Amino acid sequence: MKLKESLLSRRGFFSGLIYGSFASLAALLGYPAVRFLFHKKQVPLPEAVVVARSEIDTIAPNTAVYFQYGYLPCILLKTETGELRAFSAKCTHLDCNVQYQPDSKQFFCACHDGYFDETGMNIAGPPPSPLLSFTIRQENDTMLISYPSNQEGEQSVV
Amino acid sequence: MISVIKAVDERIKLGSIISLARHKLVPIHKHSVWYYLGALLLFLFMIQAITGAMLLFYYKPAAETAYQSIAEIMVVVPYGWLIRSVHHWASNLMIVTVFIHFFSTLLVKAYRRPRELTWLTGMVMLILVLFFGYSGYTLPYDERAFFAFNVGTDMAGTIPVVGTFMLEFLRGGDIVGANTLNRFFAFHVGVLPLSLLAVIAVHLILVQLHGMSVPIAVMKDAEVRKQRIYGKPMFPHFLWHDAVNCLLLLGALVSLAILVPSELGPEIDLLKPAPVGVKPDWFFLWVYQILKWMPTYVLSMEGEVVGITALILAALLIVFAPFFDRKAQRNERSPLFTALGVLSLLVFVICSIIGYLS
Repeated sequence: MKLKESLLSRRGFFSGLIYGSFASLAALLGYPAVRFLFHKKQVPLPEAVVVARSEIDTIAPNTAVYFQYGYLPCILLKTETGELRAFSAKCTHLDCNVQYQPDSKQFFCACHDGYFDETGMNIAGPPPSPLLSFTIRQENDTMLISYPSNQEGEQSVV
Repeated sequence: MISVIKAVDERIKLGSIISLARHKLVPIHKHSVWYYLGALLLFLFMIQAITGAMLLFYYKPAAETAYQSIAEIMVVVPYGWLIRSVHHWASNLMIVTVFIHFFSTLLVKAYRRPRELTWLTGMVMLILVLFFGYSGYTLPYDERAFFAFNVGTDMAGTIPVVGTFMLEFLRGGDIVGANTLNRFFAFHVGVLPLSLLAVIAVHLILVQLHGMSVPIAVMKDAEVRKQRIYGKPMFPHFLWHDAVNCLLLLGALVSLAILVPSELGPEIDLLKPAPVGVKPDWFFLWVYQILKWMPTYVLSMEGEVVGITALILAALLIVFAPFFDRKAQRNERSPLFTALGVLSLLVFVICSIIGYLS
């Protein structure tokens, strides 16, 4: 059957065929390339980091030490009263590592002058939220530091 | 869309480049098919740059990590095997194409005035591409890489005068080890790509400046028949041919990569003996075979030194052919250099085949 009129000209049909095949070629080559480039090695965070009590006793009051929680850099603070607090060392502003300043009893981020108090609360400068704090539990002679599973600041970490 | 093109054109005069390309004619005659090789090489170079950069995302260039990271690319990273295989096959196709380009240019004597410099830049690129291939297959740091490192750098060590210096320079010490890998990595992803890119630029500018060379025989023939040699506009006609060729090549390349993925040999072991039948990559088989035929001593000189010196002298004769081939420079037929070209092609092909079969 021959149609009197067609919505598509012969030229349009072949153009579509050519452009279409180029598009599918691009997709065929692009898909593996994108999958390759965006591959992420999944290293799950550990359930907890175990520290011996004796090791913690060596930390002087009003000082902080750094430790590694899986791939996360963290900071463990022993307050003047001997209380332990653990935080992610990543500033909530732009992910620099914070440092503890014993004189002012504050965490300080040198990148953009951000300040957090002893409880990890953001008190001055650009940081938008508190430092992510970890839960610490004593079990016999060891301390278990674990990642907060249901805490607000969670999205800002990973 | 059209206004964007217009705006760009107004600023960088795209139109003038295109009209230049429209006016540039590619001579059409029975040897025109050899004009296609340059575009294919450029296309392969781009593929190598892209897949090479991609592999760098996961390759860890150190003695302790190199092998493991390649293994990871092959089995853990999605489509890593495909990207590496494409890189591997594109390098092989590039070397094949470079050799065809080289021999065709040699045999039609396209090195004649005024194209001596184009020829010399081409020779530099041939050496760069071979070194590219060689440095590339050492990077997985597997067993094959170890022996390739040893043999290759040792051969460089036998070059008269500069040998010892070359050997230590390439190895980063007296023996092959972690330093050698780092050096070859630096060559492969730093020194060679930048050098090749620079020489490609000069080569392309010269080709545009001089236009395509017409073989002497074709010119003489046209003279006798009192005919003009017909030319095809570079843009868009010739570029369409190039595009189709590149598409076909891409198809062959991806098919090879999927059907014959690149391999990874056993891990390097500095104490292991060389496996029986270990051979260089195919593009060095001819050198391997010629050196195997050399007697231990030739006139109280070490056979290997004599062989390598002879090969270097033969290579120099070819590199400087435009300056030796007086007849071709006068646009006369020069059967001596045709014979030399055919001879070198035969030596290359036959020695490679014997080296492969032995």
